[in-house]
Amino acid sequence: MLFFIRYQDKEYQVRVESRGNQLFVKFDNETTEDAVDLLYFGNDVSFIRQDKVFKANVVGEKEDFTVWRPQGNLNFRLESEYRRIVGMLRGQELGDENNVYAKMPGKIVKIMAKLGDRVEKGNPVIVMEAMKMENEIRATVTGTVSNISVSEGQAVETGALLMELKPIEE
Amino acid sequence: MAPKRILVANRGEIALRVHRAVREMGHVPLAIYSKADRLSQHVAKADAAVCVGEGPSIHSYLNIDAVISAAKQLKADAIHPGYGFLSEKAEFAKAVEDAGIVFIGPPGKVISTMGDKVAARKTMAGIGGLPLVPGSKDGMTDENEAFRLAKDIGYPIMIKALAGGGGRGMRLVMEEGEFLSLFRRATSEAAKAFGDGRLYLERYVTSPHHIEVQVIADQHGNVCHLFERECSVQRRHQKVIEESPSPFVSEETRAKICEAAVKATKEIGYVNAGTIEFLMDDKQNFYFMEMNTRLQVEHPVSEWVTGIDLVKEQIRIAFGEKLSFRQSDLRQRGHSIEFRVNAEDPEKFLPQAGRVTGVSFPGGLGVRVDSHLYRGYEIPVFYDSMIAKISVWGATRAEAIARGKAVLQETVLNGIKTNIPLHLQLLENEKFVRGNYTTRLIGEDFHYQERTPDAEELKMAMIAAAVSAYGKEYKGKCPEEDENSRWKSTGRMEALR
Repeated sequence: MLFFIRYQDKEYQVRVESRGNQLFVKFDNETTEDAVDLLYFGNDVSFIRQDKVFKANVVGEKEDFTVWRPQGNLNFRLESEYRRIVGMLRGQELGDENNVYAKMPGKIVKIMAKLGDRVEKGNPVIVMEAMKMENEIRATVTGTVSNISVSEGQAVETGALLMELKPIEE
Repeated sequence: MAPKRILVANRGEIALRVHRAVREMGHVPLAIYSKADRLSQHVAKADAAVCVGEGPSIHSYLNIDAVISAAKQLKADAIHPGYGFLSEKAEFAKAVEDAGIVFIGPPGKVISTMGDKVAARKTMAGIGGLPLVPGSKDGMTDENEAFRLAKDIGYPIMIKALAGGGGRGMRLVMEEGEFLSLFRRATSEAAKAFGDGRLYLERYVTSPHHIEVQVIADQHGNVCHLFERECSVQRRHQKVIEESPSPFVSEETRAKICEAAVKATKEIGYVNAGTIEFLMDDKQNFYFMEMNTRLQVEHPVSEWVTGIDLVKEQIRIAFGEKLSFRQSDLRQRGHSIEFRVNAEDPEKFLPQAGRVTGVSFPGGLGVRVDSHLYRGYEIPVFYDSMIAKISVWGATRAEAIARGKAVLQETVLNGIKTNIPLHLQLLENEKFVRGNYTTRLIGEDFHYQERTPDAEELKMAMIAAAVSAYGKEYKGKCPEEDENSRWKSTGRMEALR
């Protein structure tokens, strides 16, 4: 199986195959493949490759993969060849940057702008409380408030749409 | 002492920590929990437990009536409040005593004096004889009055919540122009966190050290200190790393500050464990900041260097026994450092809630882990973001730092972001390593940097991710994962709800 892995703005390819009782991996444009011995499995994907032990713990949710490493976790976007093809057929959703989303689950404490208000990029528009701390959520663009999707006191999940902004060109 | 039933009116790591002491002493550990905490370790490890309400702490852990009625239902002989929640609410201590239950902490009267920061400073300066930083005499809500007073004290000024602690309702004002907006934000935060929006003002010492002294007093007039803790590694007034002894304080100052703390503790008639926090300037002048009338998060570093179990002493004292040691028995042996592991993005410091899918804690000589995490644990949004305390002990500070590095690298936490990478970078910081840092370390002398892995590590990590994804897509061809049983266990949990 071929996987496309994106880290920052570069894409890499990793091929994983099992033959008999052995896993083989081939990294990106390298010409040779290596036998890999998993040390344990589940989230722990530590393995031996060419005598070297590599310690890792992997969590994957949809396409977002986090690999635990002693110096800090690494985040990848991972897509299998199969899923990429399916995705191409369906057409990708476009992300938009004009909207303000919740970066963490929490409670809306204060909405600092009204519908139709002009807000400056980087200025706080919403105060959210998460884990007992108040955090200011800032406008992503300079624009007018075209929609407010939440109300004060409401609890929201990560990724919830909080406010839509119509950018002003200057 | 005959076996007692001891309720810990708290959650998370501190509930576990107190339970351990309770069990070791032959007493019976009891728990309360909110609906969000039903699958928490502190519930499973207690002998009996009662649900006290919904997830938000105001409806559960902060609900005095619910906690007292749970204590009665569990036939508790005593209540240990832990830290946070009701631990510094005088009315709670009083309610516990009124219910005929022993409160493991100081008398309600002392809690209320020390909980009111203005009264605390008056008492500690007057009766206690401790020096103070210039500031407002009373708590205030009127922003214009506060604004005028701030002018007299002189900027920079620190705004603090009268009822507060833990950095909530606290703001630093550098200049007049930003005073009013920060005052309003602090008022709202304090009102929400403590149900009391009153604030007080204080001159801000520009490059201070946060040094605190652990004290403990029994009901027979014996007062001892367990030396100092250096807590200057802070971010937004939240402690990040604590150590004992302080690498900054001289022998002479140490003797002075500990003696002053013991004297003040005695003079105000304090009983049980407490912490006196001081600001110290670069010339080692110290000023009283506040007294925490409870066990501190960072108490393990004092336990490491003295060998005293503070919670066991607290329990003994509450039941009228004498301290099990004398001051002359105590030495500060070796060096201890504690790392607060938070579920947060180390770069943006945003708290993270979610499921912890990978957990493995370190072990070995001089290593202690206080944590309630387990694999599959869902971090609730309602509570503090601290998920573990990892503390180490070494014969020297250098050994403690080296050990800290090794154990932090051994710690696996996945599924959530943690501040472990921040700790590892702090341990490389020159000022930290030299031991000459102030509360301005984070933000001024230290900036967290998202690391860039080298080509080899990146490659191996990608292989790990690909192998994991492969295992998911081709179940059966790979060594089996317990993925399918997770559905079963979730189903079982749902059925129990």
